[in-house]
Amino acid sequence: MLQLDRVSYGYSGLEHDSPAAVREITLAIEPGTLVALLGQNGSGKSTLAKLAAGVLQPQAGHVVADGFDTCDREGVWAVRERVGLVFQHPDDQLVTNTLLDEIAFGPENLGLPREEIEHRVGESIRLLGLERYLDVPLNELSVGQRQRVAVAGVLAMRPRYIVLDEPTTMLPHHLAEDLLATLRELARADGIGVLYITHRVEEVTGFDRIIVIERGTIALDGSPEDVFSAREQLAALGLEPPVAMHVATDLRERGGLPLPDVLTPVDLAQALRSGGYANSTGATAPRPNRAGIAFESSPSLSAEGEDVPVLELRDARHVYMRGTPFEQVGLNGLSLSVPRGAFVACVGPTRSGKSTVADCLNGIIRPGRGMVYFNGQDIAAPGFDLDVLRDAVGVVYQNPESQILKDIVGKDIAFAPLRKKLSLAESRRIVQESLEAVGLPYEEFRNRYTYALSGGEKRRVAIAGVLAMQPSVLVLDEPVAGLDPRGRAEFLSLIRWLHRERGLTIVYLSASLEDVLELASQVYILDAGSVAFSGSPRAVLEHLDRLDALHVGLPEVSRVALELHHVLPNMRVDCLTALELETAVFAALGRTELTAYAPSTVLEEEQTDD
Amino acid sequence: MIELTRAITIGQFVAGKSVLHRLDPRVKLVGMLAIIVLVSLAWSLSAFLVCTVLALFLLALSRLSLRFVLGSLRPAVIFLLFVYVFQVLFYQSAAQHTSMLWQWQFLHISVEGLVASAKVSYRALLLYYFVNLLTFTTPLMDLADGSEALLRPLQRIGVPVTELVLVLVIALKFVPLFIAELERLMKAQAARGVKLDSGSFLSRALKVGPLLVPLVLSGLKRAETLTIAMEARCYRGGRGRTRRRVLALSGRDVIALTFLVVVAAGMIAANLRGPV
Repeated sequence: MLQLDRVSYGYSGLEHDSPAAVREITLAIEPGTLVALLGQNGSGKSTLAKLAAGVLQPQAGHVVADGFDTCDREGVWAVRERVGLVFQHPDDQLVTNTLLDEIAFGPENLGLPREEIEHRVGESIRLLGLERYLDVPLNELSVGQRQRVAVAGVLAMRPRYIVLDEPTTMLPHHLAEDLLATLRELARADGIGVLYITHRVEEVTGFDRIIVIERGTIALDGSPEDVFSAREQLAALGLEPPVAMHVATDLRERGGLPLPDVLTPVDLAQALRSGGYANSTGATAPRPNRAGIAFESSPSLSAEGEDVPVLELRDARHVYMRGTPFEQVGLNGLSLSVPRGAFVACVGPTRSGKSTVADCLNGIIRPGRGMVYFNGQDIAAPGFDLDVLRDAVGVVYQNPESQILKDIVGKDIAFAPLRKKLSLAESRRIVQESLEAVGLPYEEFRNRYTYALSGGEKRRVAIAGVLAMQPSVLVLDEPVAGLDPRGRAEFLSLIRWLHRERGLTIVYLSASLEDVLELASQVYILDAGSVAFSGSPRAVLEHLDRLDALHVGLPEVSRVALELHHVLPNMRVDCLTALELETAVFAALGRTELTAYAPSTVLEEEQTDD
Repeated sequence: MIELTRAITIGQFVAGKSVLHRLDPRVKLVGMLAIIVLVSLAWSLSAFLVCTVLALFLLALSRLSLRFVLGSLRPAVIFLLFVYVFQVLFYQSAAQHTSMLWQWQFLHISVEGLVASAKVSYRALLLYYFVNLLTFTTPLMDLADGSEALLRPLQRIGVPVTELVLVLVIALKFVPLFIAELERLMKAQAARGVKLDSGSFLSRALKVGPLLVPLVLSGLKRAETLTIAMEARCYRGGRGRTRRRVLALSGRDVIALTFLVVVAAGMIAANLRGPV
């Protein structure tokens, strides 16, 4: 058993970005059980993970694994041997650069005989299906593959417990599912105890136990059914129950369908089927506008017809590292256009060409072939001033750390105005405006050290630095990756404000459709450097199965829709919200309760009315 | 255009199955040392000829694409040309005045200066080329194993060879990550109005300066995280550690060593005999 007994750990608290503290936490993980740990960024999850794995020693209390205490000088090594730790980002974890050496690193440290090491390495490779990559250098593997190597490296030490700290943040859905399946198998077959940290509730519905922590203490603890039923408490902690559960509850309580409590899309589909609601008629019905219900249409393009788009890529092709053995196709005949004032989204899995699009749009890369037009002008034409383009198109990259160039917030944001040799008063005005545009009070933040900001504040400062260029187009590359649900919502509302109130044209690049459904006027689905298809968010959602096959990240509502579609083939799948999904289910069942179920009443509104 | 990953090839390994790829890393390292010594000592034209033939021969053995290898020399060529100009202009020797072509104040161009500086530059280029060839054809872990095996005698006098080699491995592992980080920082600068892709060589080099602080900071952060990752996997220094890999010499390696001795003898002969 892995036991944490009144464990506390605090940091000196001088830096705002130092990890969160843990206060008097007591919990025990039995062998063979799957325990999920949920909580906001800054709730102390990562600190708890390090304490449990013996890489941090508690300041008070004890961490004991199978009788070995981390406070003991030799005991700590016994704990580290028994408790494996998998990080969020594989690059933080991989020590060597070949697969075999990496997986053998742990067993080598344990001083095992050579034959035993070979045996364990082979075993881990088979378990994670890595046979094909034996000869590939690790830095040429995809993030998902590297994460599997990291897990294999931990498993080769034959731990009794594994602690995983948000291991799926960088992974697309199907690889995350694979990893979870492996963990379930390890728990069931080998009796390994798993402590799994995440903020995606859908991932942990099949776990034995869920613990929610908030500000370093345990807020909720119980089975998934119990924890997810405590809706109000969850909401207060910034979490929502799984969409499938939400939909099932609504269908039962408001629509009168006698459905049991379910947690996953598969269970919901199963419940509908066994309740006799499966509907196999019209299995070959055409997809759009099925079952005669009308949804509100997506916001249409504001700039119509004649207007020249601000930015346009035409048949752009680009190959990275051309002429080397490391050649990699970035763009392969991609065309897209960005009308003035629009919100255009490019959505595709890793290596589909998103970042190359960003680099082309502000002239950092000139595509090897094809054209880039800015206000109708070819940017490769002689006499075109690239500075005009770069001033007008601000790019905000994924990692804010690589974008903050100065140590003081005010200085960093003044970087662009000072480069343009604007007067001090003018620069100051722009800095103030930019800071306030991203919701950070000027007087409070201008003298703060950039490295001491929290993750969310850093992202805001990075945007402010680009806004200080006074661009008319903002290109955002995965701006909300890695944020918790609350941070994500806050950030998206900032982007909505910049788009709607400040009138910025937005190009939003993302691996997931979820971020852009509400805001985008046009969505381009990218695949291997070209556009697979495009349209309004709703039009794109009609091709759910194709999106899933391309490994595009889907919102949970769509995952549920995709699953229910097997049971209700004539159901509309292009639903943007849980409410629309419920409406679609009713319509597909041909039930009339729909009218009693006014689509405009939203759960929250009703609660406040009461 | 900002694409550093294309220009910086140090430490990159190109997977392959050529003879050069399969040689024992110890042989390759000893060969590399010998080549460094020989190239550094090369003075006569015939010695340079032997070096060039050796370079081409190894390139053929490696089965790497000629275009890629030549491309990898580009940054070195640009830098060496730059240095060459200064070398010629400030060249000092007693016999120089006999072949003077042009002179102004303390700057001068002489035939002797041109030739001698060309030799120095070519020597540097050859060294750069051979080191590149070694890293292109040798996986990092092989290099580490080879150096550890060769340096093992030093362990007796208290040099922590195993730890030092691990430091080397991790340092080289970080090279591509660092380049990617530098590229990100440069893009962020360009996105905020810095003209990185225009201007003279010097003004471009100066613009990279301010990036060093964020680069070092991110490096330190990575190192800290990696330390935790290594401790979590029970790394306690070389103590009580098993090495999975065992090195063994094969017939191929013996042939390579013999070849090396022959080439070295030829080089020394060429150097002694040849005209300047």
